[in-house]
Amino acid sequence: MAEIKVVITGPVGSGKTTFVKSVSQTPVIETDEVSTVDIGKGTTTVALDFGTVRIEDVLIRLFGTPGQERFSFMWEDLMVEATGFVFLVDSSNPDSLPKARRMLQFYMSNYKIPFIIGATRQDLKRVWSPEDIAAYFMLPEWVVRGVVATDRESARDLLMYFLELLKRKGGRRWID
Amino acid sequence: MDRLKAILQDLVDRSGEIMAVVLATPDGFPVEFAARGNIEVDRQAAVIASLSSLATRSTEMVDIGSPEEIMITSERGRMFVYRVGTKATLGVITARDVTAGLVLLKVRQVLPDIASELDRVLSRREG
Repeated sequence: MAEIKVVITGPVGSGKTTFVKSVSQTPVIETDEVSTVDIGKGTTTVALDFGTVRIEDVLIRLFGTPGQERFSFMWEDLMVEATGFVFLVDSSNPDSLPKARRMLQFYMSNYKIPFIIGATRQDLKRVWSPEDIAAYFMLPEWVVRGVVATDRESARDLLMYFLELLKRKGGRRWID
Repeated sequence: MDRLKAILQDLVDRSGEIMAVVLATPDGFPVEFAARGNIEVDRQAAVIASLSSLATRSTEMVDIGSPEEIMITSERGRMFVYRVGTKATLGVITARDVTAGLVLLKVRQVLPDIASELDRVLSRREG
């Protein structure tokens, strides 16, 4: 069975921990601590989330990153030997997009590996569509997929899409 | 000088081996620090929070309770991390040849003072 490492990243509140917890088939290691400042939620990841999921004949080791920039040393550590990354953005919060763009630029310029973008919270009514998000980041539409991180099937579908692209396009960076 | 700062500064001043102490919130913000020379306190506070949280998960996984102390020995120094109640974590950076037990003793002596001052600082911030 093939094994790959996929990093789940994105800004604060994009749904990274929720995504890993939804899709993992093994108990998730999470490092959430109570937030002492208002970040729109009660806790925040300070080191990593870790879970695993088996899809067809591939075992995916999922490493979730912290979203806050002061933990960016973890972004670098967690990306070591990664096959690719899934970048989550909160489709319901356009205000988070400028920060998401800066973070995505960090990943794109430092890591020439495959990635997709998951536009989260697609179950809500007033959200940006995956196409809108793709346009915002000036990326091809196929790079961005909608996802509901709280829904196991939806989260799994996103990883299946990533695997499908990996098989079709190979392990080198898909876009420039 | 602020009382919390004074406690940390005294810890550094009284001990030749302690090079820096950083008190951080569990989510990685610096509360206070004292150091000989420069220290990147914002980044250090974040690292201390990560270490503390990871250590807690590690010991929970093997069912040995919460960590009382983390010690990292590196080429030119050591780093110790202690939980200060549930509201903060203390990182202590020392020389390489320090006696770990001695550092623990010195830190334990001041932890109650740090904890009570921390409560005061945090309640002032919340208020």
